[in-house]
Amino acid sequence: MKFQLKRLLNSQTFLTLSLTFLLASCGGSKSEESDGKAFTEAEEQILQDISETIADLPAPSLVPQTIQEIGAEYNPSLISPLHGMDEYVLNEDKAAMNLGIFSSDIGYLVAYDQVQESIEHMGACQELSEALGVSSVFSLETMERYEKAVGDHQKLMELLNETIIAAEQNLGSSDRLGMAALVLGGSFIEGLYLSVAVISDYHTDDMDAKTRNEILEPLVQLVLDQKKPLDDIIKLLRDIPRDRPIARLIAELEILDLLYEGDLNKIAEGMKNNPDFHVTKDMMFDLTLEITRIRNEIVEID
Amino acid sequence: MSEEILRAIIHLLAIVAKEDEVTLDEKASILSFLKESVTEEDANKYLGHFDKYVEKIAATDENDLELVDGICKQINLAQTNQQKIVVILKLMELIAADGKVTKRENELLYRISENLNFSQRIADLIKAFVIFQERSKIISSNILVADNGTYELPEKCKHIKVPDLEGFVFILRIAELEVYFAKYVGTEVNFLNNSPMRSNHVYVLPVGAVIKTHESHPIFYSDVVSKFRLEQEEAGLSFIADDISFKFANGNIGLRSVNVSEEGGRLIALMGGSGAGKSTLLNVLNGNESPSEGVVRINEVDIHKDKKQIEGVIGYIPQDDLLVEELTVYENLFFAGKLCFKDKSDNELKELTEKTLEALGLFEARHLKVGSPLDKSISGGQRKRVNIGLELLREPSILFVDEPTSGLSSRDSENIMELLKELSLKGKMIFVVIHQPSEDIFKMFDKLILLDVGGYQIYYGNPVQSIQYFREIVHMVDGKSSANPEQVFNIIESKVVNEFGVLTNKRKTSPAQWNQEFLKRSELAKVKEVNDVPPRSLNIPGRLKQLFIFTKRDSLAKLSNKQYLLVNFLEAPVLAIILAFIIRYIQEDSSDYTFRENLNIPVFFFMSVIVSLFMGLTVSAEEIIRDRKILKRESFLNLSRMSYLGSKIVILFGISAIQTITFVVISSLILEIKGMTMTLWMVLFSVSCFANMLGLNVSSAFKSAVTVYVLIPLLIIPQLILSGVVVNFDKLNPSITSEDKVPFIGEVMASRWAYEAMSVAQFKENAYFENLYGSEKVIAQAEFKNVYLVPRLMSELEFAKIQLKSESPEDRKLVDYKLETVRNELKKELSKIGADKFPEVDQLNRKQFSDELFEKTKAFLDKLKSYYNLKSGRAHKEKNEMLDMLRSSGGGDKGLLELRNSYENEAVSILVRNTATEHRILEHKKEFIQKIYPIYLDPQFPSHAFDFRGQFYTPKKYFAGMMVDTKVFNILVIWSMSVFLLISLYFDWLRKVISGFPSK
Repeated sequence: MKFQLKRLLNSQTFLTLSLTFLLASCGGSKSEESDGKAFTEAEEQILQDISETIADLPAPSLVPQTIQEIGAEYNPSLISPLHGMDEYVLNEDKAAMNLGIFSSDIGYLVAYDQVQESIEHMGACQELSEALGVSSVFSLETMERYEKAVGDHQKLMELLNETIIAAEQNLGSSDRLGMAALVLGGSFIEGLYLSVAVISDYHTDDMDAKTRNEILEPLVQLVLDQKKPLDDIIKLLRDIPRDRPIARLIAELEILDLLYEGDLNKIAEGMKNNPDFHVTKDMMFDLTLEITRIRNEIVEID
Repeated sequence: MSEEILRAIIHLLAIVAKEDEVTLDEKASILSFLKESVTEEDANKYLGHFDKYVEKIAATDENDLELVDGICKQINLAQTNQQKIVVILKLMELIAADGKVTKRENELLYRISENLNFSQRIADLIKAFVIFQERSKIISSNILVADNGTYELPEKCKHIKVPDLEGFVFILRIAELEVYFAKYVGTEVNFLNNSPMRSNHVYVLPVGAVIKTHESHPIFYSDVVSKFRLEQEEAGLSFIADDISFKFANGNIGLRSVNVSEEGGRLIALMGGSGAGKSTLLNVLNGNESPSEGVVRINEVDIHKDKKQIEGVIGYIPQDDLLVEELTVYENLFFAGKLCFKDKSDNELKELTEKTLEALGLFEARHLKVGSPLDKSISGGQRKRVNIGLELLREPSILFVDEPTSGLSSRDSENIMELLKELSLKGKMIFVVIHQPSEDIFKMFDKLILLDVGGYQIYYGNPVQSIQYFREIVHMVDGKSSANPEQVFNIIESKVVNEFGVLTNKRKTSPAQWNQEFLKRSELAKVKEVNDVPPRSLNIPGRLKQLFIFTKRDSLAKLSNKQYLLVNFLEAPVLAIILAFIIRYIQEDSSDYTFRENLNIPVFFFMSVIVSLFMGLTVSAEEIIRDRKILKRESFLNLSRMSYLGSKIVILFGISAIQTITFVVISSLILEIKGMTMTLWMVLFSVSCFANMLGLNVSSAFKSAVTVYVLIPLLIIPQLILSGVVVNFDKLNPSITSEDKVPFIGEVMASRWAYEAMSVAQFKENAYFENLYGSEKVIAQAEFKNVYLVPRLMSELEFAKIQLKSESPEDRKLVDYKLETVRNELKKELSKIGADKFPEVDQLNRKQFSDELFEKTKAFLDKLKSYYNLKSGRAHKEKNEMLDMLRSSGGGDKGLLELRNSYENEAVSILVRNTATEHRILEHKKEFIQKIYPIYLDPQFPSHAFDFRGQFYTPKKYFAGMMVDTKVFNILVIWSMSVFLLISLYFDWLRKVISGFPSK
């Protein structure tokens, strides 16, 4: 108590009063000077505009929507849980990547009409955006619009995409390309994760080859289609200033890229050229393993 | 008389009686003594004891003298001097019962009186008085003889003439003890206080006694005493009221040319029907009210003009109770004494108080609590005596007493009046307003002033003669000899009888006519004016000392009230437990309580402000009302109001400090609020003190406690509504809101300052977020500029660009308006980064605006955006570094999480950042107002030095060129409100405002 009183008197009253008085009498010229300098710096800085790149990348809702359209069953265990939130918000990199992950999860939930869960995840996104300093994109208004649109798939998806893209652009324009890229990366990884997880969860043992092929082929195709966005993201990441999380993300994505170049390329070619080519779950084994590992490393908490 | 003492006396009597044979006369004398003291049955029992003692003494040859010494010792222990002298008297009567006093008897008498601490002279005097039956035998200045005046007396003796008295009444005064003995020698039957007096038998003459002879010329105790006292009368006291008139504020006349001329040693009655102006006269005479005409002088000093000179000379005992109910009789007097005499030590005061208590006959009751009239521990008569004691302590020369006997039994009334009579006999001048006194009391007065309706003086003179006076005027002849004051009023107010023999409401003689008669018949006996100022009986201590005494008195009173203490000191912890327990919310999905997730913390802040306000108000609201009468007396004594208020403040603030600290500590423990004890306490204590001051103001302004308690909601509810919590300041009735500031009506609420101080301090200063506040602030401000402000400016510019060529006056006006808004905002930005960055800002007006300028401005806005982005990016970096540092200094991610969970509160963050608002930016008077993130919004462009007003939850306040932290500033604001209330309390502004309204 004594200590606190002392602190209160010393640090608050006297420091505030005397310092502000001092500052006020000096006319605050110092801060004006530094503000001016910062402005000049900003004038000279060449800003990378990544907003176009962002807009070209697939929206977070695309993969989940396709999964649903293909006819895969809903599997709630695929969704990233919310209990890591406390930790995500204390760490910007985690916050950014998990924001991406949640955005794809919301897409998946919306696609399967899991409204309650989707709203909860939307709330989590709002918290994460706050931690990233872009809370304005998840305004009360957005949330209200989201809740009003419940039941309208299309609208919900649009809203989700709109918001996530806005967040990414917002981050990009405030000179935090890294963060924007991490959101993108997170979203991409979760999309890919959902698709491979759906494939590996299918019980295909008691199916005949033809049915199996009919079910799995579109899903595998979806996975194969992610090659281009993967390349785009890697390209984008290579262009921005590199720090640890970015470098790590690039490394992980490059592993995926290698898998695409190797096994997956063969599948793609097989599917394209050989009408008798039958896809099996095992073909995706390596990719599934890798993507699950990468994804879990992002989602997991210490 | 106790049984023990009676036995001791009987024993002594037995020793004395044994000296010769016990005669029948002696036995009769003892029996008559016993019958006076105890019931007849007991008398016989004691007589039995006597016989046994006599036998026992005869049987043993123990030394009589030693036995006497032992018994006297026992008597000394328990009896007062007055009682002991009666023992001597009884012994003497016994000795003299057989008509002779032997040598041995004389020796014993001396021995006993010596043992009882009486001089031989007194024993001789009593012996002579008992034995002699002739007037001329004793020559002493302590003897008074009342007879018809035909017998010549020794020069030294006093004399009262009683015409037609057969024989004489002999009175002995024991000067040292102020005890009087009387005996009648003669053949008539006279009455002492309505009991027949046996001839040649000695009686004690009690205070106020009357000896009635059959010829109706009573001898009053006061007459006797004044005969003896005449010589030693207090020197020099004159009181003159010269033609005084008094007009009330409403123009009614209260007094018309009243004259009084008195000297010391008089007991004066002020009488009159109701509405006659008795109390008005009393108030003019004692200096409380100034007469509209005429002067009142004490020893040539005008009491209304030169108040200072006669300070303390006048004492006033109003009708009301002036006692502190929680204190004992002794404490009441003691503190009154302390306030009157600064030079007396505590021991001297103790002595004085005890002496006064003895004089009042209250010594036995001294340790009883006074209590309220409803919760009695002392009787009404005792209460009145204590009230008189308050003034008696300092023995003022002139005493005014307002209806001392009202509500008392006739026995109590007489006691009180005897007390006053005795004081007057000591040379004091005492004015008494009295209503329907009994005959006995009426006779005690030396003078009577009669007033009639409308303030007419209709009689001034001897009270007993007044009956004769009025009878003469109405030519009434009546043989009745009683002196009942009722008769006087019957004559004065007698009504006209109409032709049917029914009494009408019309009086036979109007007040003015009585006054005419008075002026015609009476001539004012002017007393000689004394010109030296009477001694001051008052020496009041300095203000600080008074403050100390008041505080001590009040604390003692409060400490003695266990219920009060219990309720006041349990209130806070109980409320804390209830409140904190109820709002200790745990989120549905978690099992452990986390401070961060308790959504009710803002509610707790708010409720604790309300609790503090309530506790502060209720504890203070009755304070001054309860003391109103005491306060009036103290202002009469010229005691300092500031000291009185100071003592209240010291005590109330002390209570508030304890209440708030217990509240804070307990609720913080339950809700796991860490690191805020001091802040919460400072704020709540300030609020509670504010409420104390508010309560004191109300308490001082209103007349009844009920009014005050009814008022409490009126004081609390605005504080509740306008605290900024219950209703958002942006969502009030538009006629009182202002968009850029807390509305004025909110600014005057202590609750708003307190709540804001707590919320802002919680957010900014908690052990987790204080590290991040700086960088978060930059980030938030950058976000506001880039997301809200710059786009808004762009759209205004675009509007201007499109509508520039429009001819319609409305559009032109709008373009002007929008451009000016943009200009204002850009200038604000430029003031921070330097005007040279965009020199074209002044061209942003309708005349000079062009497409080129539009592009230039747009380019500047883009740069502004990048500038804020840059700042934000750096702040992010700083923030992350800080977080890393926190991680590394305390347990990694887990530690950081723990820190955050136990110090940050989500609900508070949402409120102070105002992220839930719909309008995040508002246009107001050609400026844009930032509504989001008030907690990061320092006051930036104050319009004048004292422009401290801002939005709710701003982190700092501007004041006289300084930026003051909100917590410190808000606490200071609450204290300055309290200081204002103190000033208003001192000058009693509220009461003055209220007394402007009619009270009925």
